[in-house]
Amino acid sequence: MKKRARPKREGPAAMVKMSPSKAVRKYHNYYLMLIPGIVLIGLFAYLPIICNFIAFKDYKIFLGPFKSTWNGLDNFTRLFQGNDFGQIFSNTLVLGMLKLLLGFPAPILLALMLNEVGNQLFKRLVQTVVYLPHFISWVVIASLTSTLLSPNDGIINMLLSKLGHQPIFFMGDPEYFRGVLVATDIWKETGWSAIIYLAALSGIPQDMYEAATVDGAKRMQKILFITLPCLVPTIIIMLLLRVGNIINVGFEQVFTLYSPPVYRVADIIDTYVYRIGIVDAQYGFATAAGLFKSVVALVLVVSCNWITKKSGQESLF
Amino acid sequence: MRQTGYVEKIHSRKSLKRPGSDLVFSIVNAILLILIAVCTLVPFLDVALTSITPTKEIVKNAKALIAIPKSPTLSHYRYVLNGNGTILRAMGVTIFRTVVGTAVSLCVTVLTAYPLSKKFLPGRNILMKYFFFTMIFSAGMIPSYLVVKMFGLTDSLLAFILPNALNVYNMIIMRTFFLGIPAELEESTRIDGCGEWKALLKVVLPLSTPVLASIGLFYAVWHWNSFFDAVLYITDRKLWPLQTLLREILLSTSMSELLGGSGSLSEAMPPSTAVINATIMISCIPIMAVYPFIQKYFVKGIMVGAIKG
Repeated sequence: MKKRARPKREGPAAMVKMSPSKAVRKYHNYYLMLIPGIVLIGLFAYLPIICNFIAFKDYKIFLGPFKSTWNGLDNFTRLFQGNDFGQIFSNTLVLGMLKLLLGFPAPILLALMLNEVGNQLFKRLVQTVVYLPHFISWVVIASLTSTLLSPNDGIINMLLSKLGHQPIFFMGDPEYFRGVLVATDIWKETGWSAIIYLAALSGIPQDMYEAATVDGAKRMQKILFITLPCLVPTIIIMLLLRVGNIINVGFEQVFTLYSPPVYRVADIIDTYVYRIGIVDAQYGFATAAGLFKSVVALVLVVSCNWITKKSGQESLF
Repeated sequence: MRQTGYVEKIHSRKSLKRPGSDLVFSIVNAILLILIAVCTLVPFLDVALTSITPTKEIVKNAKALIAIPKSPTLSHYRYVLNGNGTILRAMGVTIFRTVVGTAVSLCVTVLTAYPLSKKFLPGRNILMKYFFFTMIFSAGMIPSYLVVKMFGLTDSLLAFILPNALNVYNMIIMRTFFLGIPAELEESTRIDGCGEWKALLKVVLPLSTPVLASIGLFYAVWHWNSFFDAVLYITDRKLWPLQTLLREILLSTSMSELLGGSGSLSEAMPPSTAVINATIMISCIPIMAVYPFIQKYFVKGIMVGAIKG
């Protein structure tokens, strides 16, 4: 937006760039309104960002953030050379990719299926049901999951035993636990994520379908050659958003579902930061791990956005 | 409108006349969707049924997939709610943070979004960047914790309300909505000699009820469901919200420890799964009860957000 292109009703003075003091005098009410938001974000978002400097300190609780001594990059070298971090970083990436690979196509498929339903009442009913888990907390979902997957009386294991299979302790078995994480994530969010695709689908002009019908196209052909291509721009944007967020695996989910037997496959950077920082009170070291994650996340988001821009799509910022 | 309806009718009649692949497709699609819906509901159904099954039947039904109780009972709910007030107090904390937190958040969000929707406001772009940056760079858990501690907010109800009072994503959604309100409407109040505050209160807010409902509900659900801020900031269990307490109950093998009443132990104690399920239901029922009616507001909210300004 050009800075000078202001509406004419502001008078000739507005055409020239306003000095800050004049702007404040003229729009003081607007600036007053902004104060609570600016202060809250300043105190609870920017102040913590600045506080990340303790990642470069040997933090001692009795000394506090300012009196603790600087130790340069010691926390980071300890982090990268330590035994845990390689595993934790790869856990984060593997879980992120699994969720992307399986969790990303699911809402697209669901939206396509819902779009093919003719009966509006049925469609709305299914929508209401599949949106519901989005509004349930991870605490509750974790307990629903452990009930369902219980090796003694969980539904899944009962079905398995009816099929003549030994019961599986899904929640405590490193072999299955990542599957549990991916499945619960899909169960919770697929319906809600489909909304954005349904919105895009409702924008497709009907006459394309009518023309295709005249040409004798089958239903599957219409989906493949009209509906899907119309969704591609939305899919690309959502995909880049997801890739940019791949390192945010979902702290609350892992935190509520995991337990020591599965730390090996499920411990992610966020849970590691919690255990090292809050539980063991190694503030400096844990902050270093958190800062590393924040920086990687920032780089990912910015580069994904850059790709979107280059590809000519509407970008996030 | 009428014409498109007519066209659709012709199409559906056509597809009925040709009972081949189209009909099969529709049926398979419907069956799959029903299956998806059932899979979504089964976990809730399981918990709901166990929570109203009498203790005796639970033992008997242990090997059935889904057992409908023969004589449903609310005794588990009574047990949970009578406890020693632990759960009731936690519920009070949750209701407090949901009501007050949502009110505070909604006010701050409106006050931030409204000026930023004014395209002529000098400094608007810098301020937008100021808010937006916090969306793509997170401070991290430990520094946030230390800051809240530094302000002395630990073990205070304010720790639930202030740190996340303004959600930038919600603010952007609201700003997008405000951008769509024609400036001429506000112009008229200015001619009448009303200030910006009056324009916001008398013109903009009455026109914005859909987005206020959506964003308010997003905040309310967030407050109702959050448990981790209490894990971080609150050591005094009396100030724990329901979700945090629920997590603790689920983690601890025995309920007696938490519900504490030594008297309740001597009485016949129901099996913990049923009681846990009753607690889960208590924490979910408010959302499930109102959710079908308010669903459209959530969907509207995300739609406004999708069309970015």
